[in-house]
Amino acid sequence: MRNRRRSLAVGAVGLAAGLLFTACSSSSDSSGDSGDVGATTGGSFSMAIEKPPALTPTNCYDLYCAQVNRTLFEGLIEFQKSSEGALEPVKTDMAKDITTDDDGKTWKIEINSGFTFTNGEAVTAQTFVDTWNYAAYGDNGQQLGFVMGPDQLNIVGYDQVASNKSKKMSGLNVESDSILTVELEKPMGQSLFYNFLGGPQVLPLPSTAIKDPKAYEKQPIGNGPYKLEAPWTNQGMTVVRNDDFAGEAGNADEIEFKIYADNNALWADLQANELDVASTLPQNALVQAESVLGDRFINDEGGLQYAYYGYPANDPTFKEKDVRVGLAKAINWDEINDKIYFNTRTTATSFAPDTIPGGGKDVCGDSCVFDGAGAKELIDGAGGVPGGAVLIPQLSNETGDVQKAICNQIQTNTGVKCTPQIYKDFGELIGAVTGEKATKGLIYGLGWIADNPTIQNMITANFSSTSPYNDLGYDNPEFDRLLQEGNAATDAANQIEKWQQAEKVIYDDFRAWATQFRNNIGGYSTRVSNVDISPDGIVDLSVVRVNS
Amino acid sequence: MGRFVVRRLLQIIPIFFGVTFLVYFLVSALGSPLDTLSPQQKRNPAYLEFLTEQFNLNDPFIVQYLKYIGNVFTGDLGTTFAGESVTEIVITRMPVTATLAGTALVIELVLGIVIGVIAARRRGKLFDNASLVIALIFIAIPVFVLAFVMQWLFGIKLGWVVPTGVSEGWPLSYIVPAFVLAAGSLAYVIRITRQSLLETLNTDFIRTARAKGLPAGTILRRYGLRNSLIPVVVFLGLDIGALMTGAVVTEGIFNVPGIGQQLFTSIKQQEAVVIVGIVTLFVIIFQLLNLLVDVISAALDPRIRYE
Repeated sequence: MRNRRRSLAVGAVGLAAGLLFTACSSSSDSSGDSGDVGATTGGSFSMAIEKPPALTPTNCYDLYCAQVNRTLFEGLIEFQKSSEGALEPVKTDMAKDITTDDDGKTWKIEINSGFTFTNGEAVTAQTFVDTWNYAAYGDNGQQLGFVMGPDQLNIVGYDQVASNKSKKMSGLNVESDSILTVELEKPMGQSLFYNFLGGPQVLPLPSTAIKDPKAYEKQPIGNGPYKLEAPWTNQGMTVVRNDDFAGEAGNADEIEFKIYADNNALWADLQANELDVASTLPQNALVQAESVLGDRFINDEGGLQYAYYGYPANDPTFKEKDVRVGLAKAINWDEINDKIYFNTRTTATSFAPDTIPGGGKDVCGDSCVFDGAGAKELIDGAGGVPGGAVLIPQLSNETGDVQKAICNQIQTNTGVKCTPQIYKDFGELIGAVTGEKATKGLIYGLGWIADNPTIQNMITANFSSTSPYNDLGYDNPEFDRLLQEGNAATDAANQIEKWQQAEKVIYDDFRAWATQFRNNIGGYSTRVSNVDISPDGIVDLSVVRVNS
Repeated sequence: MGRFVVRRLLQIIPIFFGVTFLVYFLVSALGSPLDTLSPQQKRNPAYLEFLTEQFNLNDPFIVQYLKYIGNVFTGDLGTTFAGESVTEIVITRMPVTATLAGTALVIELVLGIVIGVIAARRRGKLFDNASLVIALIFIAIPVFVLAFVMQWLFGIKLGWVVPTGVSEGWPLSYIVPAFVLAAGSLAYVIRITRQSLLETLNTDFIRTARAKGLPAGTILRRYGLRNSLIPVVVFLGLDIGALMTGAVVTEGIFNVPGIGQQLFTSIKQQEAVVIVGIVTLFVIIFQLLNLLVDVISAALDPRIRYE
């Protein structure tokens, strides 16, 4: 319901989940042994989550699992806001050095000593090697093992392990207790490599997790600022401060995560001041949230999720570019965001919001500017829409308000007939554009949640010609070339420029365009302060203060 | 009586197979559960293969069903996508739903009968008419409207209880959701009790008892009530089924971590294994409770015989 869940297609940006990564909005000075630096303010508070399908990092796919694991684990890379407000990957207290000698093919990762799991086991180079091999091994059924493969890290020997032919990736080697080397199939720039190491799916696992995954899942043991003292249940989990943590300690002594199956229940508790922190609100609370919560209502632009619409490559209905641009110009997204979403979404002009390095530019230009009369002119000039009608997809769990609004605008402004088309689930919707009998006239649309804050991640899966998730069938060699050049670039500025150029190619073709970014919305009780939702949707709970 | 009970218990066997088959078929007809995953969740081919293998998704429907049933007889109800054991889900969630439904049943029983009796005693007076109107209102209001109103009133406005969850334990956390769950049926219990008692009080044997000079209280308790309760008990027995299915809505709104909440989530995710497990459990419980109702009816009225 929220989730869950949450409505998932066009109108609502966002697929159920991207690979979440953990951003850090506090700009701590990472002074190494900061275990006893500064006084913590103590106290306890609660935060609302949806029930995560799993907590084990290698299966950690949803926002709420990432949120909990943020307190339980310490990884190698975290994200901090740069001076321009974009998220940049930086080393955590635990990572001493992550370097390459040969332009990004082989990487050396050095770990600071003193970090241990809460069961006493030390975090060493071997820990990471074992964890990543475990994740990649096919028969272990770990949902996120693929991040070791060609999609992301691309470690040498991944295929052998994923297909159960070997238990060890040959590209992973232990040099000493504190140093491991990672050999990649292809050279990778530092920014990208750092980004891939920022997600919960590459967090270290203690050996007990690999020996008995089922028991581990009930009460994960981590190496982070907080720990679980009892197994988690259908009602939630309580984490308490880990006094042995070698990094920076969290403010509160105790954080309770309360599981809500329905966002409306969460909203009731928040109004009654029985719940302290919420990083989501139900759709029907948006209209009154600001008046109820006052300045405790959070509505931050720059969420790392976009919704997009696109024209299937093999549909002759959309052969003329003027038709494609005309239909886009006929929709007034500002009005939809205002009337239906109560300004909790922002009209997009590119695939990357300004919280991503190099994002927030107006790449689309005039094609994304609402202009009813101009839209009609363009379409009429191109001889109209073949068939005279278009369809807007709607998933069966959506209310359809947005689809109705879009269709009304297209119909009123251009005279093209438009109807919402309901699909049972993702499978049926995707089948409607990729299947043998593709539906004609369907303006396809879904969303994307960033795996990491790079332009590359926002555009690769949906538009790269080799991506299996390119449902539109978008295929432009120029786009693929620029994307690859950007991926391999070792100079950060050059890399971003290449990706921006690739993004521009999509808009020049106008086969697809991003329509909205989702703001991060939430709220908090009168008992706490310093609550901030980072662009990836995760609240940095370590800095939340319990008011005395 | 013994033979009757055994026969009824044996009837559960074909019902078990019929229900599991039907539910499994219906859920399978919705399509592959993998279709509910978003494209972003389907990025790992090794994982998809693992799921396909684990849930026998490549087998024809009937083979999938037989494999599932085979496992059930070894005590393995299967697992969710996320790897959680269904048996464990039932064990941890069932007590919560049972507490909620039990509390609702007690509310129906106590309030329903007390108000029904008073209404019958004061037939045509203010109390009787008022209880009729209130009963009609409760029957007419959709359960989720009542739930939100009660949640707002007691949880947010007055702040007497935490609006959601069961953190306060029994009875404080359960009382509001249980009342919402009971409300619709409570109205029926009041009406049935009143009607049935009025009929009984007009029968010859009550008139005889009065003529013999027995105290009014004794007549009511020992003769009137006992004989009027049979339709009420039958209704309550059947109502337990409604309480369990009603729990899907109530548990959702009040965030009660019971079996209804799980059923709702699983239906959305098309997790056949979980849905079949829970629905089958509901059906068996319903069967057993009906049997219990029949036995209690016989105890209340010696004229009822099942041989």
